Amino acid sequence: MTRTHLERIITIVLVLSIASAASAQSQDEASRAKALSTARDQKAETIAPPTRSLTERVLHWYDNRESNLSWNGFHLNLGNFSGGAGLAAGIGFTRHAIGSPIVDPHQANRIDLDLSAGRSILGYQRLSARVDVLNVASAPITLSLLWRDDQMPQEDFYGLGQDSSESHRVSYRLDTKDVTAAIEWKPFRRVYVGGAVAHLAPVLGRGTDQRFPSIEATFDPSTAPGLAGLPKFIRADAMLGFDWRDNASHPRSGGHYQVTGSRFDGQGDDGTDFERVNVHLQQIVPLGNRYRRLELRAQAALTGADSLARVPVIYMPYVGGPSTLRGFATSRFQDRQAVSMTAEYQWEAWWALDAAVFVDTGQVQHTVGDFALRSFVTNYGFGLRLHSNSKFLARLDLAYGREGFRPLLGFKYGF
Amino acid sequence: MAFKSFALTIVVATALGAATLDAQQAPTAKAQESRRFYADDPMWSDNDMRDIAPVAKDDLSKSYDFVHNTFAKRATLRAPSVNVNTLGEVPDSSWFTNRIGVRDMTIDEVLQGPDTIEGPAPGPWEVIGHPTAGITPKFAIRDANGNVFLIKLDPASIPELASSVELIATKIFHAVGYIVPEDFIAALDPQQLRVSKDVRIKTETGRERAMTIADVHTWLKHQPRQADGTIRVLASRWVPGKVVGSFRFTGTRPDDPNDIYPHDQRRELRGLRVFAAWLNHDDARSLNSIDSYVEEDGRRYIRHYLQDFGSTLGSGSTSAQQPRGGYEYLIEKDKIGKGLVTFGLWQRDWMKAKYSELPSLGNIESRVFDPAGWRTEYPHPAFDAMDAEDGFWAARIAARFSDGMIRAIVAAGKLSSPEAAERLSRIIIERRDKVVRHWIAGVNPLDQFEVRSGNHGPILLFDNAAVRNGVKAPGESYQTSWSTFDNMTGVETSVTDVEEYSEPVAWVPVSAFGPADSSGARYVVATIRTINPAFPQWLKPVRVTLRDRDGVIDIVGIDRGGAPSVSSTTNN
Repeated sequence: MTRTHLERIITIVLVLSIASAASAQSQDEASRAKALSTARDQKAETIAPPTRSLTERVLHWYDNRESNLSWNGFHLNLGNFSGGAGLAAGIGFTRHAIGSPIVDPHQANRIDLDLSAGRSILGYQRLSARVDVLNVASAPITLSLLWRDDQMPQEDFYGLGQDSSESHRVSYRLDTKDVTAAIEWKPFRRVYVGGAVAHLAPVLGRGTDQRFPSIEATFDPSTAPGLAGLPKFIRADAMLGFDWRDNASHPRSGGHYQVTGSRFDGQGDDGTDFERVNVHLQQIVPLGNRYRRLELRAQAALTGADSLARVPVIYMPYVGGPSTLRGFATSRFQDRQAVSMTAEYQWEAWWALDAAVFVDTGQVQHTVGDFALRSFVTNYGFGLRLHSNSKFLARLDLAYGREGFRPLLGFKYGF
Repeated sequence: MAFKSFALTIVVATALGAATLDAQQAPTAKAQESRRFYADDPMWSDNDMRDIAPVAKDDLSKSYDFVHNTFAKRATLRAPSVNVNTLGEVPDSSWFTNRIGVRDMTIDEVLQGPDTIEGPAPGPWEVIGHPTAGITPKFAIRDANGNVFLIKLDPASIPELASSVELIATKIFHAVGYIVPEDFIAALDPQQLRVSKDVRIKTETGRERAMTIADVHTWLKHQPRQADGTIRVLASRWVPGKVVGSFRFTGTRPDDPNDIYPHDQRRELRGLRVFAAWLNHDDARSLNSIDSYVEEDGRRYIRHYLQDFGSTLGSGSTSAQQPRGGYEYLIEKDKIGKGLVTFGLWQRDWMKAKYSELPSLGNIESRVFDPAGWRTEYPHPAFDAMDAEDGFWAARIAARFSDGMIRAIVAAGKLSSPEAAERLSRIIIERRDKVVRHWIAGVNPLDQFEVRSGNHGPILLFDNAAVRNGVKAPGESYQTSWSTFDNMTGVETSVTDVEEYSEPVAWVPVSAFGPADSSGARYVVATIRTINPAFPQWLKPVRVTLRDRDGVIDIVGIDRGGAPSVSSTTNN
């Protein structure tokens, strides 16, 4: 017997019993108050504690559970690797405001610590440690010290230049141990300046991707600089930025402009020295209101080096991948100079979901003078962006270029 | 067992309600087995405050409430409210007390609201807890007089927003008749705080430790200071009694014998939709209610509170209200689909809303506001079940808040900007006008029935609530016919032809009173239609029953014949 049937039977029985009781009652003594009192008396005979359905019990547990993904600062890490690393997992340890019983975002000289270790099914591995000192001397200054040990056994390379062929895809292994010290100062609410010094210890070796040849089978040190061996590098950066987006995580208006100048100094090998200027420009143009927008992005990575210098392939600018040309593989096109541009029309399909159509274009060249309008490679696409009221959560882009469709799932907005 | 109890509760309540209303709705003469009217009708107080045994706490899962109401397949209830008296009014009970709807209230009385004290006493405030429910930053204190308050902080970047709307909404909901906590806007001096020794707090890593005054000072560190260095807070007095959970907007509480009416058939809970729309209380869900087991005059019973009005008007509690708030459920799949495929060419109305630049108002406006389409964060069973009669009941009450009263209530919210206060008052007034205009004309709006002595005998006077409230200009006519009514048999017999008047008045045919019932009372029924081509729904008659007891004639029944559901908010 279903619950509905049982309810109907009980309904009929009770209606009849109430009607019968009412008839039997002396009409002279009858009153509305008495009828209601009788109904309450009847209910009093059948009271029972509230119960919960299975679904409600499960969701009640969920609402009241202790966080089961963290314990005393330890937590699960699910990635943080570059695209193509495969499914990854690891463990992290995060502690905010060390030495203070209270976590206050504005605490002077607050020290945050973050440690993590992770590995992917394709053998990518990362160990990292980061210490940040926030609000140094109560000023808007952040000091950071970062150590990273990365093992990336299946990085892709297609050769240098805009005309590199997809059929020349090879893989290589990159192991690198980097230590970076950085400072960032926000003299004004929207302006930031920063600098960093890094010690980089890269090692380039045989790739392990069984689907493609290893790099040395197709390329030599003249076509893949660095293949013969890499020195350690000292990298020095200077950065200036202006950010007036309404929300950095999920902007609906404003812009973000950043230029970074870097010098890579090969230790004991002047032939690998070079300079780099990276420019990121992002402008969001509301179309009537914040629910329809045109987002324009332009990026350039320009390398200054002697024509005979051996700018290592691992530090060569590229286009292709989630933040440049989405219809092409990550680092699909590499050379000393790279530019890319994106125009994206976004609209709010739902309060937590934006949809977008986009076009990306970009090219790489050996020298800036080689850039030409006809050389741009273009792709088109459609995307969905999941977000909360204030934060970007995830995106799915489907891009189509001359090398086919490419789906991209990401957890970071833009570049 | 629990299910049987639940079913019994539904049945008892439905049967009682049906007995009341079905009899009222009889369009032609028909026999009934029991009387339609009792000697104590119309009943203005429902004694649901009888002594009951202690009950266990019934915590509602907020996730379940959302999931169940958003995704569970359920048919919208198409049945009239059952907890009304024979006039269609809501009797006083542990849920509701008639106030501005039935009597004139002074502005001072409205401003006094539920308050029995002046607010937290000066002197030391002892922090005794740090509730984690809800999203508003808050902590509990005990003042020097031993009174306990929940101290709620405004968003640091939008001072005054949440505290002002919570106070304003509390005053209005109380004047309407709901039971609400005592709320005060108070000035907190961090130096007056102490922390009770036994208060524990969880750190970021999940460890528990004793709370210190430094913790409290950290919460307060970035709150804006007033000129005297104090922090403006909302102090919400702990409700009396023992909190035993929240009430749900369907069914009844199975362990409470007093609770016999299904909550989605309670007129005051259905009609709450009108007031919630007016004040943009989009968070009017079960989680923001309290069932408290109280003791009063030696009786212990459950009293039902509405609480937590931080997400009303332009406030979203911790930020300005989301522009979607009040216009669209969190999940409406048809709109998501339409939004996706139209490439942004289709814009929701709320996307075109313009809000004040004054930060203390948040996102509230009156131009795009649509009373019929207004929505809570997710589907609300009692609001979905609301029909035009429930709406009419609520709209009449909303109409009784004068402009001056609204301005005084807003002033009690203590917005520091006079411009903001005036703007907010205007918006609330305009929104009131919209809800009244929409819901007062949904049924035949005849109201304020009264029997007086005329030159040739008694006359029945009434008015048109839509005209009274300026929704339309006078000009309609009224068709009236009379029937005798035998309260012992339920037999009703037409005795006059239809007469048409241009004025809201009718002669009472004294000879038409039916036979006396066992209490000696005699009855006659007037069936009145309102003729106005612009409002075809007004052709549905209002049936008014007059009772003669020892030569004194009073109004004992008003039946609007059941009303179609007005819900446009179901999400199934």
